[in-house]
Amino acid sequence: MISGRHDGRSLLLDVVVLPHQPSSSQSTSDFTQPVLSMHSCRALIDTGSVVTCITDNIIAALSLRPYGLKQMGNVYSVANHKTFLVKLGFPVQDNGQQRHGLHILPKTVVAPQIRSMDHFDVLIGMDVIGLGDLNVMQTGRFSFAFEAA
Amino acid sequence: VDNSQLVSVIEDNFISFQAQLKTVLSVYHGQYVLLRHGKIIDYFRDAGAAALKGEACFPDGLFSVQEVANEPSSLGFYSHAYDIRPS
Repeated sequence: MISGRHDGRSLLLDVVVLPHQPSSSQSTSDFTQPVLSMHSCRALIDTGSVVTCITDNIIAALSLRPYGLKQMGNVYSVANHKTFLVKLGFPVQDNGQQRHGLHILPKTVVAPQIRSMDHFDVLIGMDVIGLGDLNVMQTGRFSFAFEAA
Repeated sequence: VDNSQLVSVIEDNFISFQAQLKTVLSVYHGQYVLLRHGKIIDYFRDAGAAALKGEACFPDGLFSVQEVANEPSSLGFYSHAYDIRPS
């Protein structure tokens, strides 16, 4: 279970972005240092978005390879955005709050590229939100639970 | 893989795929295709599986993965309030 506080206007949470698999250019020794190929950042939960998107700076930080194109509606028209394949991980605590871990979603996320934003690096859309149970509470707290978390 | 070459391959595959989309949409909607030289190699339910197959079959990396879909995606509020196009 992921939990935290929201400010009544938006819901931001910590997330870790990983390439969907180690780059073929990585040597075997790189697999012992996974911290080199993941990036911790802030994510905005956006139920109005159909898809999860990642910003320019995440793509640059992880040197991600584009895999395809996706047509995205924007304020001007429809444009083709490059898509990247990533895994998302969420920091979790057990019920006693004594142990910390990272719950990595098994699903590979096809994330279109969007412009870097000031207050978030990942926009989590319904393709990911729908994988769990999101509860936004009037107390100013939220929880986001996944079956295996 | 040279990034500009890869982007060119992705764009060429996308154009070819758009031309083939009508014939495959009803059967494979929501799945992912692995594309090489503009041709559909195979269909997958998971994009990661398509990419892994591409990595295994095409060591030069010159392939792409496309979702079988014909509608632009919306980002809701952000689509209309901000310029989301990559810089």
